[in-house]
Amino acid sequence: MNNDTANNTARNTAKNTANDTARHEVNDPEDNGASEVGASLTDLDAAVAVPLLGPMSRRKFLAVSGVGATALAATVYLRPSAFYGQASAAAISSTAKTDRIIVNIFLRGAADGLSFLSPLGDSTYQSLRPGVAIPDASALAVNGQFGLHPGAVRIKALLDAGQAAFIPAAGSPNSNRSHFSAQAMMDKGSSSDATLSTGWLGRYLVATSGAAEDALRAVSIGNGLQPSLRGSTAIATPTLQSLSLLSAGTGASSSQVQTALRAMYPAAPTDLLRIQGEAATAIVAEIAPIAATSTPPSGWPSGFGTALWPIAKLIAAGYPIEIATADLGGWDEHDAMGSATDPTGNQHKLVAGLDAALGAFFDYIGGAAARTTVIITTEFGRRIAINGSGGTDHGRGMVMMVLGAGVNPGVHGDWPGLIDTENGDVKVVNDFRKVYAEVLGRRMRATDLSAVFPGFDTSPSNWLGVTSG
Amino acid sequence: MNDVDTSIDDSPAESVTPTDLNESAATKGDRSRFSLDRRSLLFGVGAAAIAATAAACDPEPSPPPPTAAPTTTAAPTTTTSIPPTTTTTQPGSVTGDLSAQVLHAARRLSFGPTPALLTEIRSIGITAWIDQQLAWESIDDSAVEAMLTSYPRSLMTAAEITALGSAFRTRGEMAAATITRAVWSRRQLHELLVDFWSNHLNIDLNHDPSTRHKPTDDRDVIRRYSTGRFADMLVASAKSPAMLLYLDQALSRADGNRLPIENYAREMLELHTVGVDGGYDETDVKEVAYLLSGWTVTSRNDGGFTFRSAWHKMGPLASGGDVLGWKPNGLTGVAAGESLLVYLARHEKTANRLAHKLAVRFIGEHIKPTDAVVVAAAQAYQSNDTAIAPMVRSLLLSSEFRSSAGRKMRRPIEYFAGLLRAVQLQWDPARSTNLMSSVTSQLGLLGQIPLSWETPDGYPDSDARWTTAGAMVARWNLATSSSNGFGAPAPQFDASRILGTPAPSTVGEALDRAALALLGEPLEASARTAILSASGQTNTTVWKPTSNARALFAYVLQTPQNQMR
Repeated sequence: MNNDTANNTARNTAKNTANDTARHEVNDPEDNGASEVGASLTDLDAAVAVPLLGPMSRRKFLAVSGVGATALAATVYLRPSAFYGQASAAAISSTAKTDRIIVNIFLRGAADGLSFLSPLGDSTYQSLRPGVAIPDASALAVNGQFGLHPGAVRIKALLDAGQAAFIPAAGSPNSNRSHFSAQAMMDKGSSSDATLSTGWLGRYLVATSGAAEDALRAVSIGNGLQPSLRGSTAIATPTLQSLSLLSAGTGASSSQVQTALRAMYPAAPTDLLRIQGEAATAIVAEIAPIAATSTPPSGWPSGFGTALWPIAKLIAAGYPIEIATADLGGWDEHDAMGSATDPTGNQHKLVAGLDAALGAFFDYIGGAAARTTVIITTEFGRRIAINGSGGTDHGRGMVMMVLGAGVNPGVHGDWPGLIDTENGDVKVVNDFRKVYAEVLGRRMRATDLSAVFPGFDTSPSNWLGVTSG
Repeated sequence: MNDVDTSIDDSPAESVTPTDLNESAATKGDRSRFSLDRRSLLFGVGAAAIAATAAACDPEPSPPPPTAAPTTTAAPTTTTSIPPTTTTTQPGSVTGDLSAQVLHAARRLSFGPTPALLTEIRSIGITAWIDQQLAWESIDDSAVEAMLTSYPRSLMTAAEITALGSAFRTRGEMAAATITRAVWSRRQLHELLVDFWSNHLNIDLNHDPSTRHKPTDDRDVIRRYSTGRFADMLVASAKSPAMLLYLDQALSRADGNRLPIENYAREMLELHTVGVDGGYDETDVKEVAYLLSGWTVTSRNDGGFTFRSAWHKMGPLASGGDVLGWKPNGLTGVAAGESLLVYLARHEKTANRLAHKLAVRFIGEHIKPTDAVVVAAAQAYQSNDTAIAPMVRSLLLSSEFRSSAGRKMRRPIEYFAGLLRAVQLQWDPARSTNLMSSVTSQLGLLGQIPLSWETPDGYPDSDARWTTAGAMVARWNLATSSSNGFGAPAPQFDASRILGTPAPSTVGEALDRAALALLGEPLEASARTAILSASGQTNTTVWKPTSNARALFAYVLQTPQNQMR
């Protein structure tokens, strides 16, 4: 059942794990979703422009490159002012946008960092994880100090091509070990759970929105919007096919239904319903040229690959995507992680599944990989020591990855080692916001990110050197 | 309970004794000015019945009826002259129109209004109906129970499922059984509370090996205590094999130098009881993990709860220390764990969290944890030793509830079940498999297959989470697919139940009747205009026996109005 939805991609390998988002609404008294719409307007009003440096016009690039002419012919533009009131008045001109793409992948459930990037020659690591630690001899060498999981062969290939950067001991200064609180903070781009209702990518999109906004500027694959995009008009959908409007059997034509819906939803009783209804009627038209026929090529990886397929298709077809997100679940391995060298082990299957999906993604987008940067994060890492059942409980420092275009390959940030720990966990010494800020700053050419990461030093001197240009 | 505002007397003019309740909808119907048998009243001319009964029961003696009965005139009804019922109630007002309040209660406290339900609520009054629904065990639901035999695994123990084989089918059958109850159960509020608690103590039906244990959890933990004591529900949940396996507790052992698994201990504190801001720390999580070590199952596939003392170690709590003020005080083993669970159930942080979460579910996301309505509900819970029914009653009889019309949207499950209720699909055992595949495919697309949220926090209760552009397209498509009852043949689906008899004479009349039957209220003027315009018809276009009723139904079900709860 339900293997037709991207949201459920992790079922095959999942234990009791995360694969979807937006899960904090009810439990956090400071962050219930209702204030989301109202409060976000306030936040957005306060947002200042994020000036961009790049002279390249995104539209110009697409026109010159000739990519996706068909898609562009059908492009529908939304008016951000309709969504944000006056907030977009603070935005800069859309003509300054780049052609670059960020894909933000969130591994829900706290992916074990030490199972991505293991310290080589570390007897503490080996002794605290009998049967689970990656043997040095099996690790795919990154440098003299770290190795990759043996299942991460495509990530290793990206590294060898100069397109993979790793940030160990990454995370938030807030030591909350709740999945849901930690995810919420990371999606918000904040070290506090309570102060923001919008996501870091949502604020970036709003601050850089133009007079007319392409309906597909940002897309979130899954049943709900990745919370990092909250505050924006990003399109959330589990598949491209599900953006096709049906009328079969009713006797009405699809265009009649579209006409009726376009007339109905401007009068919807709530802002939320009006905004999303209008966006939906716009997107139906824009996606129509490819939606019905969009199925992955044979051999496309199932599981995690399902969530990356719509993104790959949209990019390869030349749609003017700027931000895409996907959630990949299944990482909450409290028991039986298994041997790193056993392809049937639970953790091995997770790592290899992600790796294969990323490989297929980069293969498919082809030349567009030169403008696509993938960020992979998770809410926190896991304990260094395994528990009594061969799993690991909630820890602190995790591993972030930045893959693809403009990456400065290798390992970045400080590494505190496994002796100087925080209650038996990898310490967090590399704030995740340094990575986010650097990618927006260098890749997307934003010069002032104070509105995106309020209260955080986003200046280049605080970056880790994850990107090169 | 004292500050519950009961100043609206929504009782009908005639008093109804509790013993009359089960029959009152029928008897009231028979007494109405339509001399129709019950079936015709409830199904045959649903739209007309709503409008007429609204007029008959309006407590204000002088104002005109809030809606015009479409059958009273040959001229097309002009909805532009009828104020939408959802906007006639002023926020905070205690003089709301009864018709609007009945529709509000039906939308919020059931899986969707039907002509029959609106008649039922109107006939006994909102408060009496809520009390009747809270006493759900006294409502005869044998009809829906008979339907569930089509999904046999939904009623079985793990051992029975194992013996029957094809345990994987439990997933589809449980999901379909949940929707079947949502659509056809007379215990509508109970079903909504079951949904609430199923998410509060979430167990993913797809989690192997919890799958075959979930029907037992559904029956013995969630349904059994849906309005009972939360302390009982929590203890039952902690011993439920489905939960023990889902959150790894069944595997947690502290013998030798082993470290117990912290998963259940953490989620129980964070999600089931006091909440992430409940004041516990990492030491508490470890202490609870030790305290509960050895709580496991006799067999992974078909076992029950057992305590394996060999796996248990009291841990740090044996040498002093406390968890949020709780100490073992000499208790050991299972008794110590139970004592902690009951203590946490009674904790004021738990009371406030549950009250707030229920308020968000039934009133709206604008309600804050510190609001008086939440505080009152939490007090009702605490002063009744964690009893759920008084807490829910306190919320549902509040002025905040009454003034919350239009403030909440349907999530996919409520939308899906609501569509089937709206089109008055009749159960057909021969089509139980069709229904099951519709549930898994359609709700899979919308991301809310019942009991299938992967993580322990349960499906989010946030309008924004469920209202995305992609989801809107899926909802519109679902409206199209359900507009003929997913292809069910007559008599299971019959358009004349919605359009009424005799047949309407104009398209405008047909549209108005469809709206009243499907939505429980007239269409918003702009939607009405949009539908007529897009379909190239006018108010006065003649309605023929061959006219396309299904397209009209699909349009009505696609409206913004039908997204609201």
